Amino acid sequence: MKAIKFIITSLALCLVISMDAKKNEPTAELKVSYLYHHLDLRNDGSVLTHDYEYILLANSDCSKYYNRNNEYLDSLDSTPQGRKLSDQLMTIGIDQYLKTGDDSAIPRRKGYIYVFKSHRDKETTVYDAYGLMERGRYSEPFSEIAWQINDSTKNILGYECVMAQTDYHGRHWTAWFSPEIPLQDGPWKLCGLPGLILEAADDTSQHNFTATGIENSNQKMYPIYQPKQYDKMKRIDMLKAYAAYRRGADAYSRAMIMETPDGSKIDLATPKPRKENTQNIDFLETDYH
Amino acid sequence: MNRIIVYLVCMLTAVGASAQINVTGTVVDTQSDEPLAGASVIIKGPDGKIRKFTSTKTDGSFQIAMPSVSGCSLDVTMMSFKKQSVGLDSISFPVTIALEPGATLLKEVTVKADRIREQGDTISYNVGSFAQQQDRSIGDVLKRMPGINVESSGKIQYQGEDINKFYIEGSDLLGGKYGIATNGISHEDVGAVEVMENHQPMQVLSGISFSDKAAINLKLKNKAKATWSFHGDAGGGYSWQPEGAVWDGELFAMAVMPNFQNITTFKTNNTGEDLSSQATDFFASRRGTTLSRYVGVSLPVVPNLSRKRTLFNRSALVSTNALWKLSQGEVKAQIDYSFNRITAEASNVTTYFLNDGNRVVTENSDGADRSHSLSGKFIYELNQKTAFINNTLKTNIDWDDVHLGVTGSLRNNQTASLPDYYAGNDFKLIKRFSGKHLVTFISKNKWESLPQTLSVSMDDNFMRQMVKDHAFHTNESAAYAFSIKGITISLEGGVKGYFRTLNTELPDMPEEIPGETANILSTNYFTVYATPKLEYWVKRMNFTLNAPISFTHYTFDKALAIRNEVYFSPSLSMNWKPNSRISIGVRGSSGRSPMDLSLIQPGYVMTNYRSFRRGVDDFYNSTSQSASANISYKHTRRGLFANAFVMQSWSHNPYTLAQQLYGDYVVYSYTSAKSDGQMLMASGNIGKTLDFMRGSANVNGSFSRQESHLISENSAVNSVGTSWSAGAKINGAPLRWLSFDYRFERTSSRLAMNSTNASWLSNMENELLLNIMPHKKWEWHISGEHYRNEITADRFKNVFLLDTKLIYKLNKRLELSASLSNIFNQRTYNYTTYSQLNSFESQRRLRGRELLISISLRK
Repeated sequence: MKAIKFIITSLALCLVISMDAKKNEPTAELKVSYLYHHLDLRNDGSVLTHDYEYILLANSDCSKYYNRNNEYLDSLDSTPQGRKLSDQLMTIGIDQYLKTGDDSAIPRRKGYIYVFKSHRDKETTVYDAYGLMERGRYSEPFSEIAWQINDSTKNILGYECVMAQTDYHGRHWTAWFSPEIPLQDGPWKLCGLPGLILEAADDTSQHNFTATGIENSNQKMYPIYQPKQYDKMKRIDMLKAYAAYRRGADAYSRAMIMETPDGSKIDLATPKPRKENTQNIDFLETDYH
Repeated sequence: MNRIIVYLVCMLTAVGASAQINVTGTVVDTQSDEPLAGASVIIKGPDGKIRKFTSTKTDGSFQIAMPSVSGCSLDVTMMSFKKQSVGLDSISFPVTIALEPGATLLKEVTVKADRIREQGDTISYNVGSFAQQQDRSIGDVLKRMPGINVESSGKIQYQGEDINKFYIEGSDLLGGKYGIATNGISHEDVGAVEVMENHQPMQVLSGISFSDKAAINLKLKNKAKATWSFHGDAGGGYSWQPEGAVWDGELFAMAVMPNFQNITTFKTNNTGEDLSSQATDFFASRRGTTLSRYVGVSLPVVPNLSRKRTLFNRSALVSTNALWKLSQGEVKAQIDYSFNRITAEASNVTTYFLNDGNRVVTENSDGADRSHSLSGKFIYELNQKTAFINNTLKTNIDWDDVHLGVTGSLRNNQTASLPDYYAGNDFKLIKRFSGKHLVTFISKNKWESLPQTLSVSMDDNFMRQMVKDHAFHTNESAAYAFSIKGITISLEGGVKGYFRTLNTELPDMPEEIPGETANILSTNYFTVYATPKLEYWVKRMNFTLNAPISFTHYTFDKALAIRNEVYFSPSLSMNWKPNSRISIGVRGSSGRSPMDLSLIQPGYVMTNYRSFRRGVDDFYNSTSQSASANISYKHTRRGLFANAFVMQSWSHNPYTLAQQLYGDYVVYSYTSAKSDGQMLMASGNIGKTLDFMRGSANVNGSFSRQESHLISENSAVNSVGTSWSAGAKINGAPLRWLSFDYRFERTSSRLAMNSTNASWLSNMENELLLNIMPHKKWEWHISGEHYRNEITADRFKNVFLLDTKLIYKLNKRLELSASLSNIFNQRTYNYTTYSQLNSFESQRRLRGRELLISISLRK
């Protein structure tokens, strides 16, 4: 434990120092935390629920939406020293897992996506994973979302919010925004309403975003680590590739495990046939089908 | 996209059909006249509903087409600017709208750095998300964190178990005296509290030896690091009882630097806050010299009321603690001095209803206890992966002078002088070879002298008890351990020596009591011992078997025959963590051990004006068994923590405590008769965060049953004490201007003698604090405490105490406050109990109304 602590502290220190060096990054005016809740269908037909915490840093000009833990691990992977520390964390985690069966110390990523929005260019840029190691990026104009403002209102986190609806990339979304917070932003790619979106859900309730905190901020919005790792591609292609990977993930990891570097063979039980995806649980965007 | 096209088409046709109004304009900054890009432009209808909206372009311009604008208004908003609203009925376009800079006031809801986060064995609590306005020290906030419990002394428990280390930024500056930090460090300086479960403080043992204890680490905010931070309070005022001036002052300085840490604090008050417990070493085990006082003169106390309501004190505490990191290891020095003067008064009137009239016995006692304590601790420690060295030198001098005078029917005066002199040095070295082999050397040497004098004058009689008690204890040991495939086997072997001399003298013993009144005794022993220990890891389980065996040679300098004894007391424990949320532990032990050597005391010792004590005149061994189980559960994301503990123990002694009355005197002695005792204890605790109001709640309960034997007036008495308690705490900030703390506790106990049950007696306590913040700079606390104590069956004594405090925050550094406590000026705690034969009236004093004006400063 001490080792982990030491590593984390020294690393945080390195980060702070290296971050101080860059000064020209945009500064956020607002920091919002969102809980992203979604249902996920596993190959055996079981439904899992996932909760990820995302942060939105925003000002009137631009915004950044990301998961803190994921960014932390990306920051580790971006320098040789960080990779070493990351390996150490992994080793400690695995050691503990092997010894005690407790896998909670193994560093894990929860939520790969980064969304950068530019209000000047009216454009959203998304960085995301579309496979085990594959990373991709694409941009789309804000105009792909067209909202209908409704009369309904409700109170979220003490803010009077107005309802708005849209059909966007295969799903029908209902969002609640607060005109009291004059930022045309929101969770994930959702934006373009005259106030910050504090809650959004698709009509199947498989995906929803809820703001859990909101505060003034002067945090810098740093760009993504290692942008070159992300292949520029079309959104639809990226979704298709990710869906193909998810379908074959089991086989994919089997292949990875069975090809050990020292040539030894690991016997794995034959895979169970995949059950039909009857519950129609899918990604945030379903227009790739 | 299509939808937009359809809109546009509709709009264009509309333009053609009827006169469309083009709402156009530019948004600029009033101060610079620069255009503002990204401002929200909203057109609202007469009903206040949003009709259309857009945002300004890079040049600050906007354009919205409306079929009609009658009754409509145009709202322009932007972060960091004040909202502008204009009616559209009477203006022409393009319109220029100038925004005035101004903070966008957010109703902030703290972005949870997750109130509680978990990474492996470390659970991190975000301090900001638990702190309430009324909190001052980090201890105040720790109390609100589910899973963590803080006693008033500052002692911390996690999931029902005492913590084993307290770190500040990863350094163990204070050791067991961490109460200074919990009661001293401002919560505003701390970013996060980390709990490290299964913490093994010695790195050299990590992965080899299991620890079921947790440690706490305070992660300071950057502003509190690499600099000295100070805060101080000074307050003065007037108290109605004790009548006169009161003061309360504190100065706290802390430096946390990469190679140096220091905490220095000075506190003084006469407002009822007991400071002596704040420098207590919570990790101290019983001193190897095992001396304890024979003489005990205690001042009267008020039962079942908070101590700060009943303590009449003058206290001061100075503590300085420093840590220097060297290239190899670290050096620590801790020096503490405390002074405490406590006074107490009580009066009791007992009326005996006799056939020939009533007989009244009055007893007014008035006493003072003056104690000083000076201690110094000097530590060198090297804590590395392959080596651990610790040398701790500790010296301690206490002076304790007690005076208690009783007037009335049984007039007497007692004066006791109870100094204590102690010096000890502990050395420990552990070396790890090739990863799996460990060698340990331990050398512990302790010396203590505990002289005691008690003078009692009663009418014309004068008695003086003198006790001289010295002991030296040494323990030298070596250990070897190795670890293979999850199994660690270790063997510790060593020798212990103990030399103690006891001299007591009581020249003027009351004639009623037969027996010796002097003791001249030396109790020495020499022990050779071996402790094999086996630890085994399998899956998520840890098994530890400890099997200490020892041979001891006792000599008593002719007073008793020489004894040679063999002791074996094995213990087995199991810990299972089926997943990261649940932890289950089971432990059992059995063994044989020598009696407490201070019980060997054939002559009488006067312990206070009316009781005498005599020990045994032979050497005995006792046996005991115990079994315990505990379970803990946590779900950090939901902020849910729960734990339960149950323990049963049995003891078998070949001697029994006997109580005998000789006239007005009570004599305690031991007779050689078998006495078996047993004890059952169970407790449980559930804590949960209440995120909707930034608060938390906790419920707890406990039960205990203790069975013991004694002989009273030559007849055997089997006494069974049963007690239970239940409590709840809840706190939160449901409104922006209001936060509250509520606590409830109910305890109930019963004593049964020889199966005759006395009735249950219960005590109930309610405490509510409301904190109202009408304005940023003002804060108003109002708190009430209610006690409902059952004096005898179904007769209750109610006490209600009300306090208030008004705080004005001049700025971030400076704060003024005025507090008024015990507003109703309740000065006494009186009660009377009746039985068929007598009535008993008791009168105790409470601290009266108190006004205190304070100033607080922080850097």
